[in-house]
Amino acid sequence: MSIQIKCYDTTPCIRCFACMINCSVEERLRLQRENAIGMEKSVQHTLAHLNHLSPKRTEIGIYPEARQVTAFHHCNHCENSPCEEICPTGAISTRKGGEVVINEDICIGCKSCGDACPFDVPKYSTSNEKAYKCHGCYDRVENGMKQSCVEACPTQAMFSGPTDEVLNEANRRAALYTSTTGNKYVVYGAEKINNFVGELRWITIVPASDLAAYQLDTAPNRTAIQWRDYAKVGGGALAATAIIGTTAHLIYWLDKRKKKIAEGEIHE
Amino acid sequence: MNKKIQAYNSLEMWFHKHLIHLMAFLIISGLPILSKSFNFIAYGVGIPINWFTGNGQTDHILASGISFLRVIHLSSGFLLTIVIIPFIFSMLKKINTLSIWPDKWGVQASVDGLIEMKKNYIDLEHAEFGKMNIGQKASAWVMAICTAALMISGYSLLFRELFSAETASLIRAIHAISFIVLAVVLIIHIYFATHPANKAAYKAMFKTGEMDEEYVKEHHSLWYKKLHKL
Repeated sequence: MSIQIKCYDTTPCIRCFACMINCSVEERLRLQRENAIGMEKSVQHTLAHLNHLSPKRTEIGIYPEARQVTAFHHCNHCENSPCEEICPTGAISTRKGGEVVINEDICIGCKSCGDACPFDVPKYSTSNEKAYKCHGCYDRVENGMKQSCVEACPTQAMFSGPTDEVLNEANRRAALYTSTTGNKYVVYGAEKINNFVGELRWITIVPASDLAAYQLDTAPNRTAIQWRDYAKVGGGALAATAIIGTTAHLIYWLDKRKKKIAEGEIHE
Repeated sequence: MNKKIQAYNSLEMWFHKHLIHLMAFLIISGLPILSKSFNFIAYGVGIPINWFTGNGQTDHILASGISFLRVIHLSSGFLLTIVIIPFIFSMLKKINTLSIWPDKWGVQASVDGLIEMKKNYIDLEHAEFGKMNIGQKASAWVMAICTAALMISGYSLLFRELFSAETASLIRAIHAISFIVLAVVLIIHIYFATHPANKAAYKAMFKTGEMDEEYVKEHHSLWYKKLHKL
């Protein structure tokens, strides 16, 4: 199975939030299907960990040119997934389709993933004491279906598929919007963003001037986590040097002491 | 019978003993959380836990081990806090007379201190030491600062909801970096503490609390002079 990516096109999006609703519905169906939880119980609680798409509505510009922008906060399924790298129990893994998923059975709720994610995505749920985030509907994708958010979108503002296919369509749309509107459109996440996250498996077509309004970070990073990683490598080297150095000193000291005793300079 | 000089009081010896085993628990339980290279520790703990609990799923072993080690880490950290409080008060009471302060300040004094260490540990010649040499003083400061940083950052991580994710990751980095520095200094500290040349200090710390006056006169001449106001 090739890497599957999702694309969110901000232009045809009509802010109907069908994607968000279908995501939550699908998660509740998973509760019924996999955990044998009855329908009533699965729908009566507002469980935070059953929602993976959060809209963040802001207004940009000054009246009368002001307009509303709805940014979606979601997992980007990073190529280099810092959350997976830091997870001490191996609960986070990348599926064959590229979805970065948390295995709830193994997650111990240590919140390390939240510390490492530069997009501030994994959250801790107090109801099940686990971390949660979008899992890219890997179960649906691996069975030939579309992600629930993509399936719900009535305007094809969200589409998904193999990387090449989605990138070609995203680039075609961005070029079309650029030529039509005169504003430069970019495909955020299509190219490697930096070494910390790599490429993204959730890309966004957006006017270049609106990247900040859509909360699309052009330099996502967690500097402190990188320091920690450097310190781990440096610390390993320093500890090895300390062990070798002290062992060498002991050998040297014993030999020198033996010679000094033989020469009568010191006594046993 | 040789005259004795008290090197460590009973509180210092009690604290040091507990510090050793609590640090050992903290290090062993913290390493698998710091780096995947130490996952073998978590597997070593997780395999018996899974066996006792009848959990047959092999992909749960690491999580079981890390969960248990987290409990050990938090409990040991809490116990260390309890143990360290009387020690801090006792140190504060005699803060002006502690051996960790430099006898002389300045670059030349530091160079002289290093030369004395070279005389003792490289040339095996008589060196002019106080109760602690410059290396011991430096390592004591590093260990105290790193332990304080580890405790403050450790408790802060327990209440990470009070901080932003960015700040929490910074605290996590401080926790890891302080540990790494402490671990390197500890390796050197353990080496010199168990070195055959320092048998008397080892015996004083773990058994009697005292050193022979003759030994002090020969190996810690500056301390001897200070004690006898020579």
